[in-house]
Amino acid sequence: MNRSRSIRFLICLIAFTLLPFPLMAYVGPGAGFAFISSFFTLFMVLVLAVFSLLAWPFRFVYRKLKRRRILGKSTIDKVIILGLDGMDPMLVDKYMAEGKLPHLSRLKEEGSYAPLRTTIPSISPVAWSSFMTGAHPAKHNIFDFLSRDPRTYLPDLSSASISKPKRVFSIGKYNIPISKPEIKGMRKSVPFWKILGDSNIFSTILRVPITFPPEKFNGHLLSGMCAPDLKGSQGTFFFYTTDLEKVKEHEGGVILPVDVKDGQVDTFISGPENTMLKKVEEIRLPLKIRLDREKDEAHITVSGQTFCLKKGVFSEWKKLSFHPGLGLTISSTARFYVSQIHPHFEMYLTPLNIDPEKPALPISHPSFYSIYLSKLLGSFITLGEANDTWALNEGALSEEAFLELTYSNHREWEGMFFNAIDKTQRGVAACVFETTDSIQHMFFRYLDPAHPALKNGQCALSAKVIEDLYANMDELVGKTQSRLDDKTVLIVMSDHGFKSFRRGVNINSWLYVNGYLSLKDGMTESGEWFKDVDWERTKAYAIGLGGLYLNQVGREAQGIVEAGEEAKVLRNELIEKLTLLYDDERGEKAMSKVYDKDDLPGGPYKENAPDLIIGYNIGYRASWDGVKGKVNRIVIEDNIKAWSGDHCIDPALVPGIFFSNRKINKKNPCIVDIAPTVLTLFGLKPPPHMDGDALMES
Amino acid sequence: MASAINFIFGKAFDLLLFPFKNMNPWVGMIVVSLLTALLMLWVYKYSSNQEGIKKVKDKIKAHLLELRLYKDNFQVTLQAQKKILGYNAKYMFYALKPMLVMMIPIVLILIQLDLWFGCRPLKPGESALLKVTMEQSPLQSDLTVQPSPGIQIETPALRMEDEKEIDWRVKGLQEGLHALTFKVDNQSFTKQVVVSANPFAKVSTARVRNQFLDRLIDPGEPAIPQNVPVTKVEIAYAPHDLNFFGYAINWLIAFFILSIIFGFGLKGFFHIEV
Repeated sequence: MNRSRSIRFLICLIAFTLLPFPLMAYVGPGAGFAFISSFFTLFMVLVLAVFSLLAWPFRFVYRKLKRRRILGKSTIDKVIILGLDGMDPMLVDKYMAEGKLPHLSRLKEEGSYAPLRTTIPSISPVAWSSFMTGAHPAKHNIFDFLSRDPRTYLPDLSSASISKPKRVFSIGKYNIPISKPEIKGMRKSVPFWKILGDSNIFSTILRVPITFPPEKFNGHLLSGMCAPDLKGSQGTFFFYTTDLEKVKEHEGGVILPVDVKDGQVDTFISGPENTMLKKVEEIRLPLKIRLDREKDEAHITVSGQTFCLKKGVFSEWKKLSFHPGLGLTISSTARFYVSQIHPHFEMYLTPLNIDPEKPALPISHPSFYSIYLSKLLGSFITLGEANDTWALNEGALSEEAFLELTYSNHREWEGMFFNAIDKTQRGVAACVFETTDSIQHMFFRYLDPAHPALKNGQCALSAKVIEDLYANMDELVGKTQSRLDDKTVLIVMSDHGFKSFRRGVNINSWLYVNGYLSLKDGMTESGEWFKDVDWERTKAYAIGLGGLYLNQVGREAQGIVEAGEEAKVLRNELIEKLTLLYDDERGEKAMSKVYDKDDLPGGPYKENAPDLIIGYNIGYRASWDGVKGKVNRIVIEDNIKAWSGDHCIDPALVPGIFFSNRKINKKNPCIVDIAPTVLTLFGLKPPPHMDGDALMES
Repeated sequence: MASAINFIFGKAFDLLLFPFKNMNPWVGMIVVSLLTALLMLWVYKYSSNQEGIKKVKDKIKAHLLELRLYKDNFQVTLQAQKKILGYNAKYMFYALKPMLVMMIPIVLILIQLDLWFGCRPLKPGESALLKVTMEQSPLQSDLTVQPSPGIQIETPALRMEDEKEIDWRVKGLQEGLHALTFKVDNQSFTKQVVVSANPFAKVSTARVRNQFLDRLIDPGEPAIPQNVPVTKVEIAYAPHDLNFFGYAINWLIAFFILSIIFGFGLKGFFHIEV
């Protein structure tokens, strides 16, 4: 059939071209479009080819001369770092023993394997910052996801700050920015790829946490964890529903109640704030959804496009354009998922990602690297906290849908990673996959029959989710191994391990109950972010996942604890009491160890560290209320959320993993050893500020 | 069939260009180019593999960026160049189908445009060659020509046996749409002659017999009756070039450039990949 159609087509083509039209040489804009585009492409290729051919010998000699001194000592060409965020050594041991991780087992046999000591605290942004700088937190200034502003006691994102443009031109209702918004990275010290780049050794760094905003260096970088969405948040999902019972306050997302009228939903997508307006307001994008109950599908019209979406199927990445005015467009991408059409309509929309093809904020270095990846491999998730754990936590996504979305993100990163490996001739290719972290956070309860969340909420799946996760990562290791040669060093590592999170401890409530934190007169509890805390009678408070701060005079706005001896006595007192914190209901110790910042490795940013870092025992973690600065009389409570595994406990209990195809010279490697190891492998001497040691020689 | 096509297209273009008759010819050209670009974009959208074209173009752009990103890696740049050429060929292949679909309407449009923009009318006092092509040798033919008031036959008939052609020179005297009446074998038919000082007017250079392709290419007048031993009557009007800041530009080039510019300019507005 196809062949006959092809033959007929060919005959028509020949017949038509043989017709003696005097104007047949010109066939209109169609041919013009193709001709001009193709000619332009060919011309560009020709110019670039000639240029690269002519320039190559000079570049080659220049690179050789620059590298000669250092690479003379090196016997390797390439270092591949496969980061599997949160992969746990105990589970790895278990699954390797069961023969479920053949590639990692081979790596262990032929090279090396050890638990990898992590940072204090054992939190991804902290640990990955130490990974890249080879230094402990006091030298890179990242101590948690959140830091606090001592003037207001309010939380700040620890990794980056984005401020509005300083200079604006006012006209009518608009404030037109005439300077760029300031995007400032808060991580200090120098990542190893910058040092390599200075010696002309090229790196491709993909989705390593705390790389937003991207810094300039000789290589390519795509930002990872902490890169924001278009709303400036760390990921705000949207959930549209006609079920009013589900419309309640949600964390991490926006729930929009909608009505179905004549089979159609008329609603909107809540976009970024329009800071170009003098009176700042949200930019909204109209969204129309026509429902077809018979076919179980929805026809979605948004941003100049209409597409059909079957129930239970994720859309491709869809471009959404927001118009702040004056002809400007802010581009973003998102995926739609209709989970129910009848009796209730329910639709999930991913956070609004910065469009990698038209990035509204810098997400890569060079800036067009994200455009390149998008054009080459298709659009991809750019949000730092890519996997939407909150949507599952809040019931906006089912467990199956969450897994589908998460593995879909994972495949995007795999494509980028292998592209980087294939195109790195000499240098580093590194990628951090957060798949392992997200899935363990959300499904760890299936490994823990005593987990309270198994009695509540979604629990349709089984421990196989985690087993499959480890097997899938092993496959990824296998695919990476197939790209190795004798001159390539492979490092497979994680920043920390994982444990069950059964019980939440509200340190602020403990401080309140024990008289270290006071509420305003007449209050018995406080709203979020210490709303009702009486600071003039408060000695200590907790922010983030493990940080406890003294309300210190001269540092905090309303400090009452004098620095020096009084502070030291108070710290010791708190350490003593907190270490003894006992969970009567479970009959277990809630704490493993409380760390005093004076006992931790030093550095220029130590002053910004929490005064105490709480090391919870296995099964415990900061409670959801405690993290958000709520205070009440409940100190320890069950964690009934799907988010049932965690690592924000005593770092000694959650080491990461370290595998390599080379033998290492240290029995208990630490995450700060990775950076000096990579530098040494390329014949460079690690700078003195690095705290780690090289694990292998070049 | 040819008559029907000519009638529809002829009327459409008469209606379209009539309002611009007394304006600078560029106005008509810009309007026609814009409408053609819109039509072709629409045809392109529905006759091409939009998804495929987008993917191929993305790949080309990606590998072009690759040349910059990996400029120190000779192997990667060579691979990128190879891939660009491959995807470029694929892009051309994707463009083939819409190009073929567009070819027919575009040729018909160009033929109509040629009537309006190809030649200018005779100016009053200006002469042009009048050629009549016969079925057989013109030497024994009793063909005569009678001009209407406003035009004049300047020369006696020149009969060329080899070319089967009889030639005269015809001169325009007064502005207007005039006719030459030919008589042969007791049959008669006419040929239009346009005399005008305005260079922008519909000018039919030839009247032909009822052959499909001939009629399609020269659609300005009805077919010559079948029983007349004449195949074609033609007036060699002077070609009409568009004036672009003192430079003479062929209308076809102007149309090509304008329609391409409009096409590229509007493709984003209509979300069309070209």
